[in-house]
Amino acid sequence: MARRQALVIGIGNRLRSDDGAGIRVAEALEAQATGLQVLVCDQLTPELAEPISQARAVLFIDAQMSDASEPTAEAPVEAHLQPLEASTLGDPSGHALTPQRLLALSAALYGPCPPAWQLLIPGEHWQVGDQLSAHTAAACRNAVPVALAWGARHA
Amino acid sequence: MTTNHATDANQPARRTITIDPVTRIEGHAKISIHLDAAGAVDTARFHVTEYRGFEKFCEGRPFTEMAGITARICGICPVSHLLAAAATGDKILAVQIPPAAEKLRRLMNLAQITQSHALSFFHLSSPDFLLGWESDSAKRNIFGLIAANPELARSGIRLRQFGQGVIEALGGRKIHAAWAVPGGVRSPLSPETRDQIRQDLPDAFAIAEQGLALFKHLLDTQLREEMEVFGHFPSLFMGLVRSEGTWEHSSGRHCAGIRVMASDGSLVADGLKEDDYASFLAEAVEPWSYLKFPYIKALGPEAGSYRVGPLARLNLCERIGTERADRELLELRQRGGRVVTASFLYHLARLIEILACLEQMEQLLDDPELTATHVRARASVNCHEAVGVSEAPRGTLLHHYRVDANGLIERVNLIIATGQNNSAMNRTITQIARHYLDGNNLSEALLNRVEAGIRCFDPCLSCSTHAAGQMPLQVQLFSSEGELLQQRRRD
Repeated sequence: MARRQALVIGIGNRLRSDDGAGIRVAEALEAQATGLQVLVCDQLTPELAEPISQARAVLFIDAQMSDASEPTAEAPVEAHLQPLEASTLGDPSGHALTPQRLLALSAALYGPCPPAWQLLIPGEHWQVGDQLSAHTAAACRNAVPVALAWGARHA
Repeated sequence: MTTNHATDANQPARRTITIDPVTRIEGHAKISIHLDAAGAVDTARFHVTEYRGFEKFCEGRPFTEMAGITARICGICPVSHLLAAAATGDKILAVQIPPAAEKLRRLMNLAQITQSHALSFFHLSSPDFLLGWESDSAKRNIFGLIAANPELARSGIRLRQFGQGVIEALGGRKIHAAWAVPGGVRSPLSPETRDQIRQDLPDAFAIAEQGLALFKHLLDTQLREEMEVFGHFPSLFMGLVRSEGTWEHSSGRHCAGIRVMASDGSLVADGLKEDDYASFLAEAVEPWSYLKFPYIKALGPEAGSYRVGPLARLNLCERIGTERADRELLELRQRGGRVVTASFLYHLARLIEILACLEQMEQLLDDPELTATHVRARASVNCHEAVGVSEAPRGTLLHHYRVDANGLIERVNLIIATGQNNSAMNRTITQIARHYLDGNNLSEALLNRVEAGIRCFDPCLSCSTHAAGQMPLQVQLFSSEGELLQQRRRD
């Protein structure tokens, strides 16, 4: 099967403060008409297995709980691009899946899945709210060119 | 409207088994099974440990934003909140929405029920039925299902995609489509989009029929005991009905209001208006759960506890009103009685509702009014307090807003379907534990069954506690003195 576009999946809830980072970066990519297929979702659900199976490559963009309890102005605000492997390990399937399990689901249902990466954006605040923290907003800005470069490699 | 009831203050010392977290439901919770000094199951509790927050967050926001905000409570059933919020907004504007808008909202709710029930049956619950209670929990999931029956797994995905596709076609997005607004909907349905939806219906019908045939076969051959043990008890049932006593899922001009029925088929109340919910519903709280326990106020927390959702809706109606679904409803009643009290048959009810949804979608798509372009009535704030209602996949959903003269929200109360099944879920796991627990042996089969008892109700704790989260199973066994005897956890 000929694989189509590279696929970006932004994950998060924009009413959970920094949890909305993944969606915001994905939407920024979509606004730049990059030729990428962009999907956004609150959580990863089984039906995403099919578009994944048809993609040339997949990038999951999500917020990540920062290790540092008190981030400082000097702390790096980088988004981390990491390769992902399909895995059936971890949390049993529920309403939501991990990227690794979703890749495994796609492979099990539709055949070998495309190469995949995740871009994790450090977040600090997860309470109800529609604003990003300054730290995470900066990380989002830094994440966009990282994702664009990924898109250019897989166009 | 909140009262306390039954606490542990006078209970004798006992042992406790805890299942935490419960898997394959949405949100975070745990189950504890309390044993008496003789080692028999005294009671079991479904603890919800997430905290609600959305109601407070909404204060000060324009009521016109409520559809968009409350839809983000949950990634699984945003459409239900969207429609309930829009219905509440209609009342704040004090308008009757255009007929096309009402039909389009109904179409979206039918698609929402279809996709949500598809996920519940095909992906979350069918591994329990097909792989067996003794099977390893690491394999008793969607991947085990794919290995055992890949076509069923793919069918489930296709049916969910169908429902999501209709939602996207109407609202422009699969999730959080802020398309239903106070006064109607933002955009009409084009004939081309209508025809595309129609094209996809035959496959959806075939999958629904496949699921029904499979599950009825399993009920007849290997799931008879589950029907008797998984939450089989009398209770009240509550939900919307249509004016001619048929199945209903949305408020609107043909809705006859809320009906409450007892297990013997007698009507406890009928034609209740959502605006008056505070007069007939009350919520009890327990110190061990954030999830409240709604009940029919006049009957008290015990006798007044009720079930909502697919099984309730099918019990409450005289008939569904479409040919294929009515045939299945008749068969359901032959299997379980006029009022079905076996919670395990929630699964069958879901499949019948999928069929009903598809048939009603087919009828709506043939209605020329569906593509009319007048889809929104406009007005300003004409009413400062309103209650809207809709049937979510999991049951009756009520939104109650109070706004100021500028339409800014002063107070919000959300009555969620999963919360209304809270008492029933606790009774279900108690019944299962009493039947299957053997001494101190926390067998895999017991844990699987207790979890599956909860899954009969397909609870969504993100909605019911208004917090976002996911639910991974921990089991703890305590002696009558509170000593931890055994613990098992699944991550």
